[in-house]
Amino acid sequence: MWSRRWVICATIAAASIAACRAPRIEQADTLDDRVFVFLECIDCTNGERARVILMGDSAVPSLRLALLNGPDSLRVDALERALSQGTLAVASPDLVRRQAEVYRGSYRRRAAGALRDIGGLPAHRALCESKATRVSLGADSAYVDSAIVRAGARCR
Amino acid sequence: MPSVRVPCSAHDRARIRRTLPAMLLAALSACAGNSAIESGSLEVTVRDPATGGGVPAASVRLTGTSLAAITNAAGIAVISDVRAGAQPIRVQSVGFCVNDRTVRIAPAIRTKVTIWNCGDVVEVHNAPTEPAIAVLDLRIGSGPASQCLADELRQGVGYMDVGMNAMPITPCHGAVALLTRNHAVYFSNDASALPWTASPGDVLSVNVSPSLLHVPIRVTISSHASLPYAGVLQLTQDQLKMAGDILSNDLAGFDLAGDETGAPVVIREATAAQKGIIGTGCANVAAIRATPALYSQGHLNIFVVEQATDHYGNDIAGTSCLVEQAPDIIFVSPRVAKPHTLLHEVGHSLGLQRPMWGHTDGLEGFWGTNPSEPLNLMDSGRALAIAYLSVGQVLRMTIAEESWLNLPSAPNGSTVRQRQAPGSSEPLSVPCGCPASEATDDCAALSRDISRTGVKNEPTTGTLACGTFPVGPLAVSCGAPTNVTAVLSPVGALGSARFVSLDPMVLTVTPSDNNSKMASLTGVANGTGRVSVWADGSPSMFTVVVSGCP
Repeated sequence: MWSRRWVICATIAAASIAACRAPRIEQADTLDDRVFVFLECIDCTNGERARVILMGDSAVPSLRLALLNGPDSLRVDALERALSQGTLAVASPDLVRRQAEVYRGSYRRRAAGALRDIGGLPAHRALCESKATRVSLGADSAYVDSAIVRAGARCR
Repeated sequence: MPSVRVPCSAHDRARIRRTLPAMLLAALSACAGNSAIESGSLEVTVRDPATGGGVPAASVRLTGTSLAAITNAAGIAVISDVRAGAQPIRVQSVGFCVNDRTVRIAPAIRTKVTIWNCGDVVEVHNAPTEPAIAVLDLRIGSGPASQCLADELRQGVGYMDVGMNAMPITPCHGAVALLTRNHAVYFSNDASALPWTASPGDVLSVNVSPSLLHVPIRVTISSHASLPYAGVLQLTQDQLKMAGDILSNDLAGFDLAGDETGAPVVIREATAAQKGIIGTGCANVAAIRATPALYSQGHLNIFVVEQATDHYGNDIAGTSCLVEQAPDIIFVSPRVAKPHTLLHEVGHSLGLQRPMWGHTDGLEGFWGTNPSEPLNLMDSGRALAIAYLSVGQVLRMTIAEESWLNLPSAPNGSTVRQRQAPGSSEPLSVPCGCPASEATDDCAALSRDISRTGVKNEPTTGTLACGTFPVGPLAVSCGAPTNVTAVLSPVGALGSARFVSLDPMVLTVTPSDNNSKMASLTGVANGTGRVSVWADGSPSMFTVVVSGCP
């Protein structure tokens, strides 16, 4: 009897410790402006990446959002509209589709790379969470997997 | 097929008589309908350059036709049913000079043009039906009222009214640049060739180059781990298409071609050994230049890689190797690039390098849909797809001294412009200015532009850095980090600096961060090493003597 009660208490205690060690990732609805500028930069000469890495854990919710969802759908729409109806010569539907996919992929790659370099449990959890959405990662899944390995994250 | 004549019966003749008027009417209606589609109307406003007001009672006539009209009290005349397309017109006012122009009539709408009566004109003699933009340095007025005007923009089709009486240029600076869709940018700062006199009605007639300037590029696809080669090839072709569209849209005067004759761009795949030489970024510039199969002095050498990296190993979408003083080497990652990234990097190579690394974020006068949605090609990243080049940017890409088009790119030291457009490559008297708001005699301000849709950036607060003062020479002990700080030019200006070791076997450079004026130098071998410092303008270089190494 005594030993059974002890087992229950030990289980509860262990669960509590585990919960403390695995804090919930704060959810972000919108991207932090520093993260947004980093995700969008072309030659990134103004320290965009360094600023995000320096943010540490506070950058994780935004990076997780970018990794799982890609760019804001309004921006993807704007890109597609600009390519297909812009003042430039009209692009083919295939080009529009390809470039929209590249745009989505660029967010995922950069977010994965930054999470890898920030490190720590919240970043690792965000990286591991992306494995559940592998289908939507498409051609970028190998890049994200590589980030997970290089970060040393242990995903279940 | 043989024809057969069938005799008409009386019944047939009667039927024809009944139906012929209706058939003729139908035919005429069809013709009239066709005419409505193929013609438009023309509204001409004749203005007096001295007062800006309308000139009444001037005759406006389509040359060689009876179509004509007289201007009303406001100086406006309307001619209807003018055949669409390029039409020569003559405008003549009583007691004044004759103004001959060619106007492009749009079908089914009213085309409006303004003629400055007896005003001076810039005429594109051999491209009379092309949209054109003129950038003019002029003198107007006489005596104490004389003024020098810089970078006056005029738009038109085939000709541009100056809208004023340009006077003999002395003592002002005189220059003219012409942007057209299918011809290289024309530029001349030869004041003696300008026709401006004290009398109105002068015509500056320019023959532009017969073709676009062909900027030769070589594209080599290196790594493509996450996509099959065909996929990366397609993305690379997308980038080239976007570049072509933007250049044509903004009258850049050049295209990206396989060679200087305008041959199509050839895209190659690197061999396994070559991929090792190419690497992922500008760190391998020396090795690339030493490999003839990868590098051509007469081309912009563009390497397409799975993931480009900067000097610090950071993932980037693209880069032009300016810091290594190799503007003819570009890296692009189409897997993470915007559709216009390749042209963005070409822009850097063609002189769009300062201030702020050539990026237009926050620079006064550049357009966006709102302040946070920029539209300029050289925005550092947020611009999505409708990415334009300003007139000032186009001019600098062609005439700036730091543009690769004006740097030696052949064994005989000749430049692309000298080889392809010798008639419009006079040496520049003054280098292009920095920052963007600062024009020089020959270079318009970067933001000088025609009107576009959107809102303009507000004026930048603070002075922007345009370069660095050289540091050193320095002496460092082996293995002992030595901190250095870049001094921006002008002193106290806003900006960041980047240090690069040009002799990494002698010393290494570690930046304090990627956006700092500070770095740490560490000697790794006895000798003299060189460090390049880059801050928004031309790089400066200093030497470091390393001693004490075993």
